[in-house]
Amino acid sequence: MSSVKMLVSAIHRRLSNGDVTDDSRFTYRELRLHVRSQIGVALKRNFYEALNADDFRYGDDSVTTTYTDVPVLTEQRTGLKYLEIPAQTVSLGTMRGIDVHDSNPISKYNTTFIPVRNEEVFVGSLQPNIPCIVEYFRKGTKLYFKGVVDQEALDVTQKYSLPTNDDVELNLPPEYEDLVIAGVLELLAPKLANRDTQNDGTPED
Amino acid sequence: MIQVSEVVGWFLDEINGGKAEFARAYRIAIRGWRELNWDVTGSLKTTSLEVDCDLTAKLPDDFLNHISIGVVNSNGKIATLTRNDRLTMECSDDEYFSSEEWYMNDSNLSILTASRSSLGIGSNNNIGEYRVDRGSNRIILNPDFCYRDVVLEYVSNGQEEGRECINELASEALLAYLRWKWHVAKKGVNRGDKLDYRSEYYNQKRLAKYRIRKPKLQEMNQASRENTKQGIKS
Repeated sequence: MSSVKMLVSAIHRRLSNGDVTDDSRFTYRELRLHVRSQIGVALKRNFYEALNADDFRYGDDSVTTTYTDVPVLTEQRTGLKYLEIPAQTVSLGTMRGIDVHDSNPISKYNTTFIPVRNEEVFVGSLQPNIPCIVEYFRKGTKLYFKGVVDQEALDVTQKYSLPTNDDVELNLPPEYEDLVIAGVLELLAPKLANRDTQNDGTPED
Repeated sequence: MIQVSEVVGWFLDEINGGKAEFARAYRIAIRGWRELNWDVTGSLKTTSLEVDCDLTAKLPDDFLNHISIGVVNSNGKIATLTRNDRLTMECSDDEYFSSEEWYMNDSNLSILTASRSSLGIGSNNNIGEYRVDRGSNRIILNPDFCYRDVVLEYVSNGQEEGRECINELASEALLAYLRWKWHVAKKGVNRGDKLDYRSEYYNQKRLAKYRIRKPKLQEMNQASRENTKQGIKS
């Protein structure tokens, strides 16, 4: 599986018809933006394909990344415990893409963390708490816990996430890599139309 | 007895759900558990409550409704108290409150009566009076009450060690309730399906009631024999 850097490099070489030169028209930063955007499109496509293939609404299990020992912090203003979501995720519209758990998620003795939507936080406050459960809800890039959390760090498993580090291998199924490259090239087609490889000021096309 | 969370797990299996659906499903299941407790699975418990110095006794935490209140006699049976809804905890006369514990043994039962009528004792053997005060969660006893403990037979809410549990024979009824209430407010479920879920729940509830309260041959035999009386014809 490739990383963002490898995909950018592959696209850049294709655009430059060989080795990338210092005076290339395309910068790494520009290509990186397009590549990340196309990876998001590919992940969302994979999610909807998984939805249509089965009744299961949690998407493809193979597109999963686990981030260990994410620190649990305390917000000074509200006193609530929270943690920062480790990676950016594709918009799935639900809380199904993020799972917070202890280091052993299937142990009977660990604390069970259940995701709830923001609307359910209010609904839940009108009713008795569910025993032995800690609920968490999302606000922006933070997950807030509704209950007692004794752990100082927790594991977070994310589906359909884009890592911030470009060297990290993507959890993208291999069949989508060519689609990402094709998508980026299609986006850059208008720019490619005015190519001037001879550098004489006259577009070739 | 099985936990309500296990029934919720069965339901989530049915709908291919997971953690994101758990909170809503559990809260719906609790409502179903409560309803089945009222009508079908409410378990009877008997407990002895200590009478406090102010002649009241605290109700248990899982108390739903009482069946009988009394004291245990020498035959091991509950001699029931008389209900008096006019009893109150407020009493201006200090002599009704004793700081010392005292009790009477069963040999004095026959001479105890709360009836001071000059027309006779009457057929009601009044050994004490009570009132269940839901507001303060206590049983209020009459000022003349002289027993150390009072025995309460009551319907429990089914909680065991703080966890909601349900009779296994009613688990399918709870699952049917959960299925019905989950889909009743859902978009895209047509009216016919909602009515089907509803009728399935009531059918399962009826079956659960029959399973739990199925008459036993031994008891039917006993009742039949007790009601058969013979006399000599002259």
